[in-house]
Amino acid sequence: MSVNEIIEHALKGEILPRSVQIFGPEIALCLTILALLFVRMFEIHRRLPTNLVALLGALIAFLGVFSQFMYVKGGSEIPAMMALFQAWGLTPEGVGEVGPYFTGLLVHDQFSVFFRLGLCLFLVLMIALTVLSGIPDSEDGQDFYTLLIGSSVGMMLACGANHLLTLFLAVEMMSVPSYAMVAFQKGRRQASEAALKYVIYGAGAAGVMLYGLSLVAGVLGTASMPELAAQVSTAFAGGSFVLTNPVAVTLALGILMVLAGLAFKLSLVPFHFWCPDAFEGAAAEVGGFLSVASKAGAFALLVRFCIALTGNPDPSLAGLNLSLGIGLGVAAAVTATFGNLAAYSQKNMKRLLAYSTIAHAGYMLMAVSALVIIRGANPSGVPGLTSAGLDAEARRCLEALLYYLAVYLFMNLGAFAIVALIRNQIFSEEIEDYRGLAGEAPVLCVCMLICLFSLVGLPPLGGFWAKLEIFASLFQAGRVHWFMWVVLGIAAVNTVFSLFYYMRVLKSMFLTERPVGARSALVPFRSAPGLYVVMVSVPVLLLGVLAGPLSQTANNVARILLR
Amino acid sequence: MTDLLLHFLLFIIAGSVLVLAPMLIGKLVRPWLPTPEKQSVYECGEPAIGSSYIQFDIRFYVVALLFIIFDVEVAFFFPWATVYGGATQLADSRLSDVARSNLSDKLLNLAPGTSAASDTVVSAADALYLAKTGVVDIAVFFAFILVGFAYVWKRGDLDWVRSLVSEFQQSQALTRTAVVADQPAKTEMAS
Repeated sequence: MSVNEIIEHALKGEILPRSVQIFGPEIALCLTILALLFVRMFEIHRRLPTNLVALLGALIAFLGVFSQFMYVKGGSEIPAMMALFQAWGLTPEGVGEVGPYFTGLLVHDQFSVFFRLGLCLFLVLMIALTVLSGIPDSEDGQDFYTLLIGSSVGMMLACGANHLLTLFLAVEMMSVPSYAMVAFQKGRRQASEAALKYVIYGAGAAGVMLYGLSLVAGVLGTASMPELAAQVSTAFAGGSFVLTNPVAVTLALGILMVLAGLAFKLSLVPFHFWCPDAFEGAAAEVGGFLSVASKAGAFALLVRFCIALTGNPDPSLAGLNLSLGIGLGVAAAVTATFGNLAAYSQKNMKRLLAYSTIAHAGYMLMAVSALVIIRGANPSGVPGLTSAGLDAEARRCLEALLYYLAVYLFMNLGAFAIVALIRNQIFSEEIEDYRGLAGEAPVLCVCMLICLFSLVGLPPLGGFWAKLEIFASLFQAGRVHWFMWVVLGIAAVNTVFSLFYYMRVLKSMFLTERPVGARSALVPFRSAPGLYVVMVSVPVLLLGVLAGPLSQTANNVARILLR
Repeated sequence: MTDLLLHFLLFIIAGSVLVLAPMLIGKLVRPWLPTPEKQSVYECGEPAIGSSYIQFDIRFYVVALLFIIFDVEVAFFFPWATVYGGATQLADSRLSDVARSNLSDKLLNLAPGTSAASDTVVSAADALYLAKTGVVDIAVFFAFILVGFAYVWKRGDLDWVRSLVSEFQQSQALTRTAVVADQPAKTEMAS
């Protein structure tokens, strides 16, 4: 391609305007960061609080992604959305067209828009929570929001990663600000310790991951993710994926190292050690951010990486798909079991939620392992399933993951928000100190009950449908390989176990008397914190009662991604 | 492979011998007359004060961190500079055809003579457009760095005596609000 063609095509022609159009919300977030710095620099943060600037910027970005979502979903003909479409300048050849942008480094599709929408919604809710809970204070607000928004931009990049370098860049961009956010309460010794552990772990994991990426790209001769699958079958033309083949060993090592880096972000066993310490040292708000947003970003990357590797059902590569799927399944089962067992003995609420986060990462990983197993299956080898049937089951696996993440956003944010709001009243995060709170702050305690029951997966809450969908996809994957039935059994036992430690918190809140002389925590229903927790908990209920629309959307997203 | 290994081994052996031999000769030949001055730690001719295992002031780290951040960002200028320089040279429409194809090879990182043979010669108009785009790109990038720099400066992270500055400002504010006329010595000390 000559320079003239590049200029005509990329700069003057279609690529740049289309890319900028799709990237609009991220650009809005970057400009918000600049605005935050300017507000503090010119000392107008007393009249114009930085948290309001951040909230406004996040809302604008959310509207941008929302309009993209509606445009991609329903086309340009929605009358109610016309003004928004025009404000963001959406065109059929820009946002309307699914495909790579920024010369193939990022990809725009329903999957990335779905994740970006969730992340922007979470960012708005997160900033609203920090406005209510008063962390950070007005002098340091711009630093905190700069880190928060910068990390969110990294996660949004992760959702659309189409190149191994973008994958690495996104992981780093979402990690580095979170290290600083963990240490944000500068005076606390515990926060510094947690951040140091997190940084050292993160740096090690990033190094391993980068080495793995270089091995994968070196063996396959490309770093572009859509080409990986084709390159895998070229590299193994004639041979098969067995460990006596040196190329296979190198590739397997590379994949393992990349997965180790992602496992660190997902806090999977044995890369979970940072998680409880970081959550305990950081403020509860930061814990909520790390447990939801960075998990979502890392799952988007994991799904993209796994799909890129297992793209074509070449029979000689069945070994790769099967060992990848079973490896993820083992990691998922171990992670869920470990998280649930370790959560038992916790006395600190944030530590308990940290272990519960680890366990939930395990459940969600089960959906990914089922997806890999089903996609790698040979249609003729599975009795009772046709090729179309396998495709439908693969879609259901991804649908389960997306549904779980959507419910998880609300229920986990709700739990962490309530921990933060209770901390502001009683200055404690120990479960012991939650005794009898239901009498003083009924709205917080009832919403906590909804969130925790949903985390267990009790009907009629959102968490129930999410777990059910994952279990159903595990069952179907078991027809391809029996090991998935073992994973399913472990997951079911885990769900029952997890009930006990969540119940311990609720028992302390509802069934014991408030000790005499304890700090009172009066949070009435008609107050901003009360309304906020209700606003976060209601979707958990709604997603349990009305599962249809979201699972339809998720299925549609999965259909287009797996096409 | 074995050839390379042999070279490598020879290099290591020769290197070690060349270091160890003078030390051995020195040990055998030199007189041994120790004095306290000779035994002391050498520090640029100055008398050494205390141990070197001390805690450094945390302000060194802050400045070093800021330096690294801006240094790394400025490192991104180098690849830009090569493209921009090549593009501005090519934007000159008076260049001869030979010079143009040579410069195109350089800009596109091709083997010399490729552009003359194929159609990869960059025209003056295209080069000008490339150069203009480059200016806009780097201006946006640099503006972002400058905002960060201005923020750091304004926050006082570049003040070496930061804590003293804020203490001084606080003491000034206190004396102003308290209106203590009988303590002129305190303000003098602070200033």
